[in-house]
This record gives sequence, C-alpha cells and structure tokens, in this order.
Amino acid sequence: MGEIIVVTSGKGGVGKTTSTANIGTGLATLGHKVALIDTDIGLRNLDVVLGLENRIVFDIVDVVNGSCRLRQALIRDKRLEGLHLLPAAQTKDKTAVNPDQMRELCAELKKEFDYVIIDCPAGIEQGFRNAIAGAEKAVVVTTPEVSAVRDADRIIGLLEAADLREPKLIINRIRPKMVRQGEMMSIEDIIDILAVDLLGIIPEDEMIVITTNRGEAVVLDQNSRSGQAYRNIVRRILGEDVPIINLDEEDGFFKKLKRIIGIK
Amino acid sequence: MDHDMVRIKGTRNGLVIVLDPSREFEEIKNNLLRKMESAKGFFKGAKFSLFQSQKDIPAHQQIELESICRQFGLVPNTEEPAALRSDLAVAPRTSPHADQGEAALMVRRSLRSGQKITCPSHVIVIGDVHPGAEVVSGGNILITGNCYGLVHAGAGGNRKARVIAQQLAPTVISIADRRYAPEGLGGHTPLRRQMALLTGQKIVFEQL
Repeated sequence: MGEIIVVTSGKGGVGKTTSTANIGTGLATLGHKVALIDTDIGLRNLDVVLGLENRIVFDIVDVVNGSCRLRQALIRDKRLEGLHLLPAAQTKDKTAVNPDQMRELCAELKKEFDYVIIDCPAGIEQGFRNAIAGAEKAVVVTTPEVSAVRDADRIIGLLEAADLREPKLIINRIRPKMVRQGEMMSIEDIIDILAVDLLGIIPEDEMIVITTNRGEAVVLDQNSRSGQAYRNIVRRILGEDVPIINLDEEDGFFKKLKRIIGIK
Repeated sequence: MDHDMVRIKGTRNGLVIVLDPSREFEEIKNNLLRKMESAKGFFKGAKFSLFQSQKDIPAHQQIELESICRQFGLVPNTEEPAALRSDLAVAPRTSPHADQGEAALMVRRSLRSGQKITCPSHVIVIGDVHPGAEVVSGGNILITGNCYGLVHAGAGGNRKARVIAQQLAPTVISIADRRYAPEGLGGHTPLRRQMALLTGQKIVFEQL
C-alpha cells in the first residue's frame, strides 16, 4: 500500500507543479512506483512540465465518468519505468470531479503505487477540496514573499481542518544574497510564521526554467543546486535524515568553481 | 427576610440583581418574579446582570432567571463581570474550589490566516495569532504566543478590556470603539510581553 501526498500552496505560481514533477521523478529514479495526479482541471500543466502532453488520450474526468478504465488514462513516463501521470482534463472545469470520486480514485491508485502525488490547483475552492480529499499527507510550497507565506498559512489552517495534520513545507526560489542583505524573508522568518516542519528549500535557479521548458525534471540534473535540493527532499520523504543545504556556504566563487568541476 | 433574597442594585454598569446564595432556587425565582411585577415596568430597558456571591449560578438557573427579567423588558448586560464585581466592592473569593473565575474561551491552538474567533467573553489563545487571523472578544484577549493578526478586545464597548501577548505586533488592534493600525509591515519592533489598553481615546502599549 502506498502513500498519498498532496502538493499545495494556496497562491499560484510558487512551484507546486514543478515540485510535484521533481518529487515524483526523484522517487521514480530510486525505483519506486509513482503515480502523479494533476487535479488542475481546465488549466493542466503537469503533463507539459513532464513532457508528456502529446501522449494524453484519456484524462481524470474520463476516469471518474467511467469513459475509460484508470489503467488506460495513466501515461507512462518517457524515461522512467515507475513514473505514471494521470492528466487533468483541459476542456472541463473543477466541478467535473467531486471529493468522493477523488477519494475513490486515490484508494485505487494506492493499491498499485508506492507513492501517489497530487498536484493541487491554486486557490481554496473546489479544485483544492478535490485535491486534498484523498490525501494522507500534505506538502505546502511557498516562496519567500509575504503574500505567498500568508496564503500558505491559510492553506495549512484549511489542511488541519480537513485532518491533514503536520504538513511539510518547501520554500522555493530562495535567493541567498537577497536574504543576506535583508531584502528577502529568511527561512527562519518563514518557519517562525508558519510553525511547520521544513521539508526542503529550493534556491532560485535558471536550470528550473530550462529543464521545465524542455519537459525534463531538474532533479535529474546532477550539477544544479536546485536538482540537489529536490534530491534531498526526495530522500527526506523516504525517511532519511538529510540536513538542509546551507545556501550561504555554497555561494562563494570557489564553491561555484568546485561545483562546476564536479567536486562536492 | 424577603428583601435580602433578591436585591436589585443600580450601578454604572446597569442593574445588578444580587441573589442570596443560601436560599433555594425556587424561592429566589418566585421572589424575583414578584419584585418584577411590583416594579410595574420601572426597570424596562435597563441593562442587568445576575450576581450571586460565594457560588456561581448554575447555567440552567441563570437562563431561567434571565428569561424572567427579559419578560419585563430588561436587557442582559454583556459587559465584563469584573467591572460589576468592582462596582459591588465584592472581595475576591478565597476558597480555590469555589472560585470559578470569569468565563473565558480557551483556544488551544494557533490561529492561522483566515481563522476567526468571536466570543462575548474573554478569549485565551494558547499559541500564536498569525497575520490574517482574527480574534474578537467582548472582554480581554490573552495570547500566550505572538500576536500578528487582527485583534479586537472589548468589542461590546468595554473600555477596560486589554490585549496581552508574548509579542504584540498586530496588523490592526481595536479596544472598544478605538482602532489602531500600526504603519507598515513589521514596522514596529515588538517588545516582549506587552499589554495594550485604552487610555482616554488612545490605545497605548505597555511592557509587562
């Protein structure tokens, strides 16, 4: 029996889909069977980020309507054996699926996969309620901005109300230099406000944009800091005790040089 | 002695109906009824609170007595009982077992953005009040952790209400009808263990 994790944030554009894709890919590279569900019906992205858009035949709405079997709608990743995607429908809206159907769907996927990871849409309406309905654990993604942190706080409150206690936090797009200059909220500031456990931090990194646009996952890139950050997150999900990377240390010229020539 | 069983006192917080704790409830009830009838609507529209020294009035009895008063046009007082007590110059009760204190709502968690607590009595939050969360109380607000949200103490007009927090840095703070919104986000450095209270028309912060 697998574990069902929802990736959510409240605010849009903070990196839910990117995190879902990278965590899923990371788990699959380590040999786990992973199913990713895109619940952002009407604004699907996860398929694009994974580079699987052209393989979609059936989607989540077809599955809950009974137009196809679950197995038919699941798309296997082009590289990784264990990674599967259940895409969202693009021509419908959030009301095309209800929380009961999501619970049923998650329960079915859980039998077959080690990890079921749900990509939640932005907002707190039906799309959010659908996404969290079947989840057992939650990962909240935020960026070091007051508005994103505020929304994350709201979401954590709603998750707790829905009995998804102790969600884990990913802080995305950290810029160590700005934090040092006091122009950006630090990790400590954010943790102080949100009072939840940290699952990981992702530094701002061009490689994310590059890999995402190519339909690849940065977690597979051995040289980038963001890739390393996602690999650490994956190991933490698997229960390993991995220290949070100190971004300050890695910012120096020699550290950069060492990374380029491949010395950790 | 009949007149000692139920005494009606006028205070600046409205009428206080003082009950004799040694009498049976039925006697008190009938006595109150008679007094109200004999007053012939004299008390109509007045604010009232029930008070019994030494022991608290059980909730169901309180409701019955209040409904009698309501029949005669009296309005229950929602203000803080502490004020009434000081008006009556009642000494604090000594027995720790008999002392039930004042009613307060205990919130045993932090309040996150979008969560709101509204309560006519005092509110105690065991935790933080995050930015975007709201606490509205008819009485005092005591926050054991940090207060960054919106707090309103003495919402019914109680000017004696206070807000106490480990770190008091609210987005907006109101006491009774006065409102204060500190400028800018995180602009003022919060002091440890602060109390906010009303002095004249101004909300002032004091370090405890």
